[in-house]
Amino acid sequence: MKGHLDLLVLAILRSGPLHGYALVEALRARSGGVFDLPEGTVYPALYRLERAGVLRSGWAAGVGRRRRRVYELTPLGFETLEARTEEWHELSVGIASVLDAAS
Amino acid sequence: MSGDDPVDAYLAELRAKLGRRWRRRRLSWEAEGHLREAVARRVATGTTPAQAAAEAIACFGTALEVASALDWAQPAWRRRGRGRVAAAAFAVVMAAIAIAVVFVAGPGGQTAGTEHGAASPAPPVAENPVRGKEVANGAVDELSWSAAAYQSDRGVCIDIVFSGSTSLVGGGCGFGVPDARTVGVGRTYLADPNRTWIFGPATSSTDTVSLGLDDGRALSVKTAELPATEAREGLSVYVTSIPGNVSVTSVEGRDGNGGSLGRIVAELP
Repeated sequence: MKGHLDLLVLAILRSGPLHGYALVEALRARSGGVFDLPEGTVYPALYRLERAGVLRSGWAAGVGRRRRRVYELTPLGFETLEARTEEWHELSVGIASVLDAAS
Repeated sequence: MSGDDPVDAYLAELRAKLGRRWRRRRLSWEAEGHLREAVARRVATGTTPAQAAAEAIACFGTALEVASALDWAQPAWRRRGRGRVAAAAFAVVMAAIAIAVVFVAGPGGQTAGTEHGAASPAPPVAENPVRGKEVANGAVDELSWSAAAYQSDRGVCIDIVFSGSTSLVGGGCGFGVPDARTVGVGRTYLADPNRTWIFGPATSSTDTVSLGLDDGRALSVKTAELPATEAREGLSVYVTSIPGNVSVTSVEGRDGNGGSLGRIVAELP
């Protein structure tokens, strides 16, 4: 899961900016509950991706007086998402071939 | 919040494990916002506050898990050892894939009773059961293959499948017809060392594509029409299989009368 989290985060944010809680909810909903990871581990992934320049963040008004950090893809993030999706497609094709040959 | 609030207690434990650097303070702040919202949403659906807090904390992960994830997110030079392990694992997976592809395609890589490119494409015959439209088929070592093509927001995509299998064995995406040219060209990225699939797009007026090979021969490949989508105009595609020890040096599109529509010099990897 750890190796794929970055790609999943980028894919979720493709549709627009989200704060961490909403991102986790979207990840769980879109995966049909398959990716039910410890929610707190998403934030370190967000920081890593932001440091890599594929995400940017800013404060936005939240519930009550609390502010929330909202994340969105940078232009580099969109490019990275496209490239890594392609890599994933290739890898999944190869793995399917291995499994099919073994069956 | 009261002193015995489980969220406060959890956050105190988390802060103790995180330390004081700015990124850790930020995580602590975001963790609190996350947990408060998670509790509020559960309470709004009828869960008791105590139960809501317990569930929210359980879903967030233990303080140790979260702190460990932050450690893992340290700069690359601190994780160099892990990077080497990951690179080695990736290499092993890719090697397994390459071996499997050779196994599936067979070691000989020659089509019985034929010469180069005899696994020649046929006109479109049916909708491919995997996805896209079947645009070509052939055989390698008694194993039949078919190629399906479709248009996506990544350009033209080609999937190659062996008969009797729903698993893809190769293909690619992102092909388009270059400006001022009539044809493009690509090759399988999971090539059998003894066999390679050559494919690409062409303008819809292209009837056949002539592939120049580095052994001096030329191979004529019939194109198949790929319908237009809402976002893209219709075009043609071609797919064929050639021996792995032969390279394509040129690609030329021809109309129904054999007239040249344009030619490119192939620069395949």
